Amino acid sequence: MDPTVAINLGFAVLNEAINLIRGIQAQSGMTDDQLAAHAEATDLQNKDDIKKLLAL
Amino acid sequence: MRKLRPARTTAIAFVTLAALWFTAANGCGKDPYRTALAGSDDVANTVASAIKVTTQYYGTGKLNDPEKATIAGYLDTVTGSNMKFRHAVMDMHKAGVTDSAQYVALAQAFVNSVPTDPVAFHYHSAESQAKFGEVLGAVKAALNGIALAIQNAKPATTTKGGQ
Repeated sequence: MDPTVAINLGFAVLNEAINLIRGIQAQSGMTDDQLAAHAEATDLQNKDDIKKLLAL
Repeated sequence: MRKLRPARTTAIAFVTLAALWFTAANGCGKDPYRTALAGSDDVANTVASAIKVTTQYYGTGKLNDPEKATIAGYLDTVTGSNMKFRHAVMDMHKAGVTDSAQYVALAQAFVNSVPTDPVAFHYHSAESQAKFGEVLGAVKAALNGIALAIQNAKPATTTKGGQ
């Protein structure tokens, strides 16, 4: 395997693993209601951001 | 660029499997309601990441207008379905349902409401093809992981809502 490809592959996997662990840690500190509110806020923000993306 | 394809495919497969494993492991020891909420939050977070990458790639000319619209449409469908799924989960919890099979059925309906396979989209740029295979693959993995995680959740020990 090309060393550059191997490095990129390693970083991609590491980055995804870090994101997963961060997400699990953030969720573990929340109550059920807080988790539901966080997901709702993220979805509403996503809806808004998608509208902005389409308007670009 | 040809050398990138098998490597990236391997990376996507590895990350998808890791995501499913983490999601399933995250569901162990938690009740179906909590697991469903966590899965819904995971989906919202992967969509947020996908929007950022899409905006960056469009801004640098790596995505054209139809590609941007296709991705945005997919992410909008996932977001709308995620909200419906979560609201249904919360209603079910308020009604006192603790049976994981009923939460799994909601998760399956959620997955079925997003029929398009995002990794099957075709892009004019090989780099965009590889990048969005990863980014939208992560969204798809988060979606598919919800039902698996709920199946692995432990039964709730208390009922809420008076059932």
